[in-house]
Amino acid sequence: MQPAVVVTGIGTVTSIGIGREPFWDSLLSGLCGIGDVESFDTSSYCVHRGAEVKDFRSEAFVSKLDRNCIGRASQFAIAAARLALADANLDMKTLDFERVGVTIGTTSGEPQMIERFDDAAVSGALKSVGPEFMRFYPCHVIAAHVASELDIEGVNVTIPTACAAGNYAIAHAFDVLRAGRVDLMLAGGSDSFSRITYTGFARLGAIAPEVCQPFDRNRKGMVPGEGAGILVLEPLERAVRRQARIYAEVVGYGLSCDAHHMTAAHPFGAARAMEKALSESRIEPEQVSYISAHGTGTPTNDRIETLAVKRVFKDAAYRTPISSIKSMLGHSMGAASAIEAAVCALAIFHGRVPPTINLEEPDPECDLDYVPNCARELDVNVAMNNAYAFGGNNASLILRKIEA
Amino acid sequence: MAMSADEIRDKIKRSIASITFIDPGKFDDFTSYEDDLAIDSLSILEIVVDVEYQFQIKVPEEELSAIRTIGDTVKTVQKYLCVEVV
Repeated sequence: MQPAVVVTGIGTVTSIGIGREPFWDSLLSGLCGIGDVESFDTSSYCVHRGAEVKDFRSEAFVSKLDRNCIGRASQFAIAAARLALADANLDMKTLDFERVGVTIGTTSGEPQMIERFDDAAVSGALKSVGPEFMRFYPCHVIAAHVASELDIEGVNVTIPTACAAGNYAIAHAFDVLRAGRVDLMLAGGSDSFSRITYTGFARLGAIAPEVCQPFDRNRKGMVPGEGAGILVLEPLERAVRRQARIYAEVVGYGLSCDAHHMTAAHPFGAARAMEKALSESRIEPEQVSYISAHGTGTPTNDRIETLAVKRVFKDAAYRTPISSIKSMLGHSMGAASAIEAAVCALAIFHGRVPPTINLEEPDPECDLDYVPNCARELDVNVAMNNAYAFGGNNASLILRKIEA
Repeated sequence: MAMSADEIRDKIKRSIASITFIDPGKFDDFTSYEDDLAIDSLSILEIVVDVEYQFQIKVPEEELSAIRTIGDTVKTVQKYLCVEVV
């Protein structure tokens, strides 16, 4: 029999708090991390809002690697990994580092490094770009940097399936653990704020002018954000043996691709990922206590997601609370679903679910229970975490309470 | 659930009308969603979800893609209502 896999550590770097406790407190109080973009000049854009991590001190987390030679996404990932390991209360001396792995999801890799190159090219200083550029920007450096900072020598994978990448990374870690290839995994996602990403979403007309208001009738779009979320995953038996605090069990996942269009979601793909996740986990829709929505706040996403939930959950759709923390954090891209998976684990552990803030006027086309504006006490036995991405990549993850 | 084809057809037409705001008097069995009603994929999912909900059935995705007309929809609903009864 394959071992059960549990979450025993949580590390988050977000615009509303760094570290599990500050982040969770901010979420429950409905704190909003969205403000005017400060890291670059947005005067030539028609939008100016973003959810940047403003109080991040990389020197507090990165000690072995040279901070000037690793990008912001790698720095976030290292910070989240250190926070998760500390949260898991692991005695590092007892770990066999060859049997510890890292899987990180991302959308953009290290876009700020590419911007450095662009700036050099535009200013006529292309010759100043040395060969070291090759090791700065590719997506895969994120997981590699986490491993080399922390001396982790096992499986090492970066999964760039865009905004569903965090769930993909956790799913991969789940498989590797169940196959018995490792003892422990650090799994999650990381992305940094960048002109590249911001310009792309601005050109798509997807960015909201002021706030992110998922499922509200007057929602005007998403707001780009940044951050990282990393979970410590290990077999249940190992966690029990070392008397670890167990947040939740990862029970299963469902992945699907719309095979349709790069940015326009096809409505059935999302439903298919949820159905696969439920059937793999042997869980009926009625048993799901809470859904963490992809909930970007774009007019189309929220409508499609609502329909997909209705298709899968039928009557139970109306009884299952569903909330979007992107209303507070904006969209942290490849980190988003990893942070949201952490939220599902915390909701299970604490018996509370975070709200969807800025939900003032209900939309007749989005008529489910989105936990508007106030956190709620809720006995969460099973939580579903949904993520949808460019390329039609869909990923649903299911977590469950461990009975004491 | 014993339901005649006409009752099924009426329910389906009402569902489509409520989602597309098109006069149901203009629908017949040969009306094509794409060619005659020019409905986008999102509205088609809305109709699928509503029709499945109304009849409490679940149609597999691969069969949905074969549905082109309102007549196809009636036949598909009939097929799955029978399954439900059995």
